[in-house]
Amino acid sequence: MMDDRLTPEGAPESALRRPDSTLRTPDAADTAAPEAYEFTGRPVTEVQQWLDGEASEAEARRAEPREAAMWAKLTDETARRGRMTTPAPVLDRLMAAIPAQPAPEPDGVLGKVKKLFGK
Amino acid sequence: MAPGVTLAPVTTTVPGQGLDPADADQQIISSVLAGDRDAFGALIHRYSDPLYRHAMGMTGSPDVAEDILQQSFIKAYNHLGEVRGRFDAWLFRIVANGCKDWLKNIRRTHVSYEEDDQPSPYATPDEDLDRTELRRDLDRALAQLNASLREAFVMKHVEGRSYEEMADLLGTTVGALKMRVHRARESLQALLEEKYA
Repeated sequence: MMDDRLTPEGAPESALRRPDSTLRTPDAADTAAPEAYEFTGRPVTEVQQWLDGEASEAEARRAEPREAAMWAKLTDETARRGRMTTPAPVLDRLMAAIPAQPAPEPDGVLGKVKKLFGK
Repeated sequence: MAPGVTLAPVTTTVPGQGLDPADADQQIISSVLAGDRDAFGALIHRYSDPLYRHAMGMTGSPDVAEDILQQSFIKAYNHLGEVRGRFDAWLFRIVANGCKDWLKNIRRTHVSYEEDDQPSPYATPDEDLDRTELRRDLDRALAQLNASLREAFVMKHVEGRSYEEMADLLGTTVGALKMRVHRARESLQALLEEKYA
């Protein structure tokens, strides 16, 4: 789930980085909406299925060799981008930019009571 | 901790360590709201990488990505008491909206950032020419996608999220997101196939 992905280590290996045969079994959520294909009005190609983890790379390469080869290069590049981390100086600046004063109290009854009577 | 990050590691004194991420977030938020400003650093450490990747993927600019993250974390800090539900999803929406606002503004002002001839921000000094060119071409092709297609493609292929996660974060359906990702791929293929297929 998303919580796992939102870690400093980035997305786990299970994430769709470089489509391959390990992704032949799609997760339920990715197969539960055939209406997506109806919206596009075009048949779903083997390459699209491969990139969604619904077909193997070998199947995609057999059906559309040129397109599959191109997407192999592109997904290598997107996978590399997916491993990018925040540069250390940027992290320093993010922290330094946080206001020095305490975070405002929450709104709502509790916040109003605290504002009225102090902590 | 990501390689190269030199900030102090999260220590045992940081609230929420060892808990489920959502529970840990809530514990940190409570500490921050109780006056421990520095505890907010744990949230920055935890979420900056995926958010930075998102902002980089959407804007293609390290400087803009940093600005968006900085504004987003400040906004999150100032409105921390208003978090209802999952902090990570709330924070993601702040950053995602910041990226989309930036794209709207830059297109409205006709700044042709996608056409400049700068090296790809993803380039490294020792990479070969073919890879450099692929990176630049992919940057340019991504810049031609509209914001919602670009967002869907980046979340799927750069951030490695499932359609279910994407639907959860963006408040839309899996089907709609599949459609966006498929259209994004079709557009990218049309832009790049002459050279790469």
